[in-house]
Amino acid sequence: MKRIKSLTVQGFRGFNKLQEPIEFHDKLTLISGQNSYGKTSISEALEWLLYGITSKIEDASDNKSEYLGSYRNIHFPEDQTPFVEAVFVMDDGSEVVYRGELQADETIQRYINGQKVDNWTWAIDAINDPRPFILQHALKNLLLTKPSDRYQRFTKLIGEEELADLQDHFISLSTKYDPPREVANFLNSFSGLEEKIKSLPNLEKIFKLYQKSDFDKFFAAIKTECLSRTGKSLVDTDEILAELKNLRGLSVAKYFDQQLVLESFSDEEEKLILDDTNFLINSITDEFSSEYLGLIKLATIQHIIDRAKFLNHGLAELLNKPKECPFCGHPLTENETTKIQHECNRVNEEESKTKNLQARREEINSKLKALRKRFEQGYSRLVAKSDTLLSLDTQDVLQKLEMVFGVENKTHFDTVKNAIEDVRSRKEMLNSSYQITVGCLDDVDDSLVKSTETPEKIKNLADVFVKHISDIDVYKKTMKDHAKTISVASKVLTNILDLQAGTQELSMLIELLERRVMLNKRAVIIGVLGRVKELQKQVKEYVSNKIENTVNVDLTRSVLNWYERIKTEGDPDVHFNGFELPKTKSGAIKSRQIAVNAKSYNKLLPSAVSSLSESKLNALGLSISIANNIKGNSTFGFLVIDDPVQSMDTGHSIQIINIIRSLIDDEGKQVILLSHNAEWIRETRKSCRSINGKYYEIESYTLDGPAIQRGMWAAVDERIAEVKSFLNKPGLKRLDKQKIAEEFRLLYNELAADICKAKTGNLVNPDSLNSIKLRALLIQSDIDSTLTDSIFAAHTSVSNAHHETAYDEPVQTLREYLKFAEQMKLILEETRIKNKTSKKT
Amino acid sequence: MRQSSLDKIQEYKKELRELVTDPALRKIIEAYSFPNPVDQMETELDKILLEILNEENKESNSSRL
Repeated sequence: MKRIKSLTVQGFRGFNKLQEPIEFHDKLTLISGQNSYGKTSISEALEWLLYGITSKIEDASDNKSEYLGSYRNIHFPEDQTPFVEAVFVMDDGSEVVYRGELQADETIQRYINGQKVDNWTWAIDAINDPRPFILQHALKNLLLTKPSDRYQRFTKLIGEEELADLQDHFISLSTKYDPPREVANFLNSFSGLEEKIKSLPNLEKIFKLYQKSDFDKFFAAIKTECLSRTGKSLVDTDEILAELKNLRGLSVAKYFDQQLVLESFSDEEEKLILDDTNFLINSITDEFSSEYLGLIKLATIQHIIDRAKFLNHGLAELLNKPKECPFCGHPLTENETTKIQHECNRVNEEESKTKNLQARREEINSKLKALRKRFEQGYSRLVAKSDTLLSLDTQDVLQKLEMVFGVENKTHFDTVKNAIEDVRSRKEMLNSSYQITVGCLDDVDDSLVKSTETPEKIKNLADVFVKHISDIDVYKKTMKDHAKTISVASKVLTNILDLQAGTQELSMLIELLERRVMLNKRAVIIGVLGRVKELQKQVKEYVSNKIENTVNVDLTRSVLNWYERIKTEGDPDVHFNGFELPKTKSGAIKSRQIAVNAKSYNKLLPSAVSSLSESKLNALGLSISIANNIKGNSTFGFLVIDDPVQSMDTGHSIQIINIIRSLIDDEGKQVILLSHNAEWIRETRKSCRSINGKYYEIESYTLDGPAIQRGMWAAVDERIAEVKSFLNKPGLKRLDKQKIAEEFRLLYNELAADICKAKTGNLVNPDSLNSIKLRALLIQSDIDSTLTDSIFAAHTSVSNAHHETAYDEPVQTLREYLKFAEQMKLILEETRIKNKTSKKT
Repeated sequence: MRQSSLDKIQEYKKELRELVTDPALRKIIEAYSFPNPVDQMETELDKILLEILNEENKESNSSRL
């Protein structure tokens, strides 16, 4: 519980020049001043220091720009920095100086004991605590606002912002959420289907179920409908689908019995084509090619085998007749015989290498067969994709198709025709490269059979393969380019045929069955999104119940507690009766609204806010703020209350004083009260006489800012009269004597400060005087030394009285102390008269 | 955000989770966290929907006739 000791303001709001700090009493400080004299600048300065923003600007929501530049006093020198500085007394009794300097961008630069800081040490704890300010404009904002704004302010006020935020966040999720692009595209892909089912009255039941997320029921309805159409008791979906297609085909055949289909290649097919082409290219350029070329190399040394046979024969003869040539009989030298032997061995070695030539040839031939097979299969698959479309490419069929499309849909027919021509041309091109490739394969095959392998043959084959693969790409792209438009044309054709043959419902059922897996996914996604919307309702109910409990029970009870205390006996019986979360006719709590109830002579008023008088609304606003401020452990032990008695008569104003008293005595609050009502402030001082708090009067407002003067809590005469009356009571108790001693201390201080002012013109803060300072001041004011010493002794005694539980000065001594005060008063009066006289002369 | 607020939010999340049975909604509630609770929940919902969309195209038993 932090208490505030003093506040210094310069250049902020109404404050221009630097003034003496405003010292606060630890229980009650009163600041009185007429309207526009700068009272609110005091509370705003403190609020800004604590929170970096004033509630007036914070509550302005959208109109904040209107307040730009309003923190800085317009007359404050531009080369100086406005600041607000406060001394706080912490829980451990230490004093800490918090200073906020206003930056050019309207932000606050914070300092703690002169050290720059980013934030106050307690800021995080205090952010959700009720602020220690009860401000008139805030009270009006709280009540005189639309119910939804009131709800927001109330949740903030009662510290349940997290709950209100939680609800907002879930509302945002359910109303503003955009699914990822892929999901949105997926859901959009069903929009045409939805329109089509909707247009078929006999499928109304299916449409209704389509709109819901229960796929099982939806699919069961489709099943029933399909089976009723087939008239067969089929089980498998694919069988039913085939039967439905058959039924539809039979019906539309009399109008057009061909299919308009051009499917582009699926991901799986694309992968297969890629695998095929990779296999062919790799085979022909690497493995197969190198093996084929190796074969050529081996074939070129075939003659070696013949030579080896010849040499081996010669060698056998040489064994019989080692001295002569086995072929001509010419005599041989030993060297020649060795040479022949050596040559024979070499040729035999070469021969062993060529021994598996035939086996290799057979192996390569078998690889070529496999390669050819895969090539032909791949080609067949490719061309088959366009077979259905190209089957339409006859004059009769095209004429029929043109007729079915009719003049209205001629563009679709033209699209189909163009696609057919384009695809056919690409297919022919592909076929041409296919035939050439087959020719090259035959050549290679033939060379293997006839042992006439040449490098040119394998090179040609590689070249035509590359060309063929390039043609495949062109063919695929052409198919892809036309697939979309053919699909649109096909749908148009289906619609036309369904219309002519009366098979729209069959077509619809076929489409539903074909897309069943995707429809199931759609239902699951729709289901999740629907439940997210439901979740928002559950969160709303959860939050409402929690808030209702807090508002109806806790808040109403505590506010009524304070409100009842403001009531007077003469009040008409038209009063606040509690808060309520309005409900719908069905009993559900209306979202984000808080109603203020009031009763007039036991009858519930339709609108409390418009029925209660302004003074009652003020009383209610005050009660709400107080109730909220005292609940829980607030970060701050002080409470700034700005003009609480606006629009209140004397009776109610007195009740407010009682409330202030209760806040101090019962709740332990340090209260700083600001009011334009001087009479009420006087009454407050009187009613809180024993507190002996601090009182300031803003005497005027000038260019320099508010002229704040320290005033006396009680007049000197009043204090002296009270002390006299006490001293005349028989049987004074120790506590009474302590109270009298405190009165003496205050009397001495205030009289000494006034005497000094009257005699020397110097202003002294009476609160700053201790016994030694008081003595110095009296000497400075030229007071008789004997009296000065007596007052010093008396002051020393009474200053310690409140610390001493056994303070028990004799009444006679206290009477002596009274005499000193009376003597000081006399000196003050004489000095003032003297001053007046000298002024006149 | 101070600890007491975080504690409150944890308490609210726990109570809300107990109110719902749907696992997707429970995941979304669990994802609620500061400083950007809406973003966090949206990211979780994105994840849930994309998982449904990208899961293998299987025919559920219930869709078999």
